[in-house]
Amino acid sequence: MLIAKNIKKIFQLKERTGWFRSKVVRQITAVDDVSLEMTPGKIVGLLGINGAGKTTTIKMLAAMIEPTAGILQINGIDAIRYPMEVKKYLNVITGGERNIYWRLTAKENLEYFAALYHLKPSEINYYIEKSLSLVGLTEVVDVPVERYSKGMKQRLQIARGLVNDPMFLFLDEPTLGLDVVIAKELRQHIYRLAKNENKGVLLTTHYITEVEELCDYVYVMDKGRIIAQGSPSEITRVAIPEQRITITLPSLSLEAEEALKEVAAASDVHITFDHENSHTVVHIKSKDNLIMKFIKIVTENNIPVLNVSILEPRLEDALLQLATISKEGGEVD
Amino acid sequence: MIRRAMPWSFMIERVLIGCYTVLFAYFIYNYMFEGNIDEQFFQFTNNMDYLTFVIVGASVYTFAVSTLMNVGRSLMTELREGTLETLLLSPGSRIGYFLGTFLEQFIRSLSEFVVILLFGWILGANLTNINPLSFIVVFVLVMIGFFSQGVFLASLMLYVRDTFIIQNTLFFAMSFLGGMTFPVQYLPVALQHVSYIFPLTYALHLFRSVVIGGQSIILHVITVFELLCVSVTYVIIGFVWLSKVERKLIETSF
Repeated sequence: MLIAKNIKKIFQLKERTGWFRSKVVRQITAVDDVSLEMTPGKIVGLLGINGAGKTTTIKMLAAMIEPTAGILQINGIDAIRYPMEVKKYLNVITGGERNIYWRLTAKENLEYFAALYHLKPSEINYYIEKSLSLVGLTEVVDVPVERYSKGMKQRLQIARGLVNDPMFLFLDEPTLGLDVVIAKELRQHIYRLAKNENKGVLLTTHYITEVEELCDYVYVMDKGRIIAQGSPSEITRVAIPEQRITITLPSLSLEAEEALKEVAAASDVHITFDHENSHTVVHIKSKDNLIMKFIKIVTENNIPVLNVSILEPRLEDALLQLATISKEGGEVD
Repeated sequence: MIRRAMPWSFMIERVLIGCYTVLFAYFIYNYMFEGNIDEQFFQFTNNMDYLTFVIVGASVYTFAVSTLMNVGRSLMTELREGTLETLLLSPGSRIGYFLGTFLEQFIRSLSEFVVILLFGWILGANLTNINPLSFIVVFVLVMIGFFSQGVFLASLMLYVRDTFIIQNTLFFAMSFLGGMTFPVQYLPVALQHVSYIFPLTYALHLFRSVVIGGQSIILHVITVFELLCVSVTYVIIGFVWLSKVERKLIETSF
């Protein structure tokens, strides 16, 4: 298990005052009091707009940079004190086509990267075969990477990230710039890694559908802090607690409209009416499920209901809402 | 893999430059100086002939440049190729990485050294007194020196994010101050002191005196000690600096 408790990262901006002298001119808190957990077999999402502190958080979790404060434990080992010890349990996969040697073949690449993790030759062969087979590159194992398509290079990135059989994988924008088919394929790989291979996965992405499709749990960051956490549906419910209901009617009498307004006012419901030529649409935003109450009023007034639709809030809307609340300096429950 | 990934053009370039240096010295010595050389030169070089002096200088210099190019530029090449992050992410040791880089290029650098030496031998260098045991001992010491300087250079290049200006300035300084084509004693005293920051200066002294000149290495134990001190200094500064540069790089680049 990976446990981060109250981790913080403060960067010091320095200005040179001489050849070998500098002074601190500003401090930037990139990550502030972040606590999160990763468990094998689960996919955790780390979301936030640019500059939210996601990449710095990943770098700390991957033992690449030392937190300024806080506790980071990976499999019970203090990762701040023993970064080299915990690195064997981790790997990072980033989007794009870098991080692999283009002039080498897939096999040569993986042999080198596996050697960096001090694996034995027999282990190297086993994990190379396993990871290449998982991403479907066994047929082109001896082809130089420069001849690979973008998608193949990206799959090789995943194989590279698996070469040390890590317990925890950090995926930073893994589908960036890929077409929909390859991106879908990669999402399937990521899902299999967590569910079949029992890897703990932390995913950052700007594609919200990926989060909805893959993540068991999500942390939302803004300005270096976690502003919301939970399953994607929980986060959506917290950020957008109201149900959005539209009821389409052929017409609406004044009495019925007044009755609806009365119920809305009594129940803290936001109600609006769109009177079109041929019909009237009633828009209701409500925290509680009051749909039957409204339908009852309509039917009691002998008005037939043409259509009822309930709009489920989406995670994307929830994130926008959270970003707005955070920008305005508000607190998220 | 050899055909795909080896820096062949760099190798050929270095061998050609080494051969051109030797050829240049050959023409100057034979046609401009007509074989006449200053008496002081013989004092400084223990009666070594000029051609052999330059040929040894060019060969060892090429070996130094080759090692420095491969070890010193390694991290900058990783940064440019986009593979440095993966290296820094892994638990692989930095000393192991540099040793691996050094060993990987060793045969190539040695080949460049041998080719220039053979070319010089064809032109008349006196290489008949080479003692294989002395050669191996001195070569090991020289390798330690150049490897250490390479580690320092790697940190420096990564710090300033440049290879071109640094390597060209350094190689010019080494060729001019290190005693490649003339003894360092000809330099002004201040520059003579500067020349001893380069392992090349010690390397050339040991090669010419012990390997080619046939003297016992015991007579040059102080040079050996100085070379090892310079090497240790380079390695320590290199690794301490590297850890700082790495930290800054991870925080700001990836």
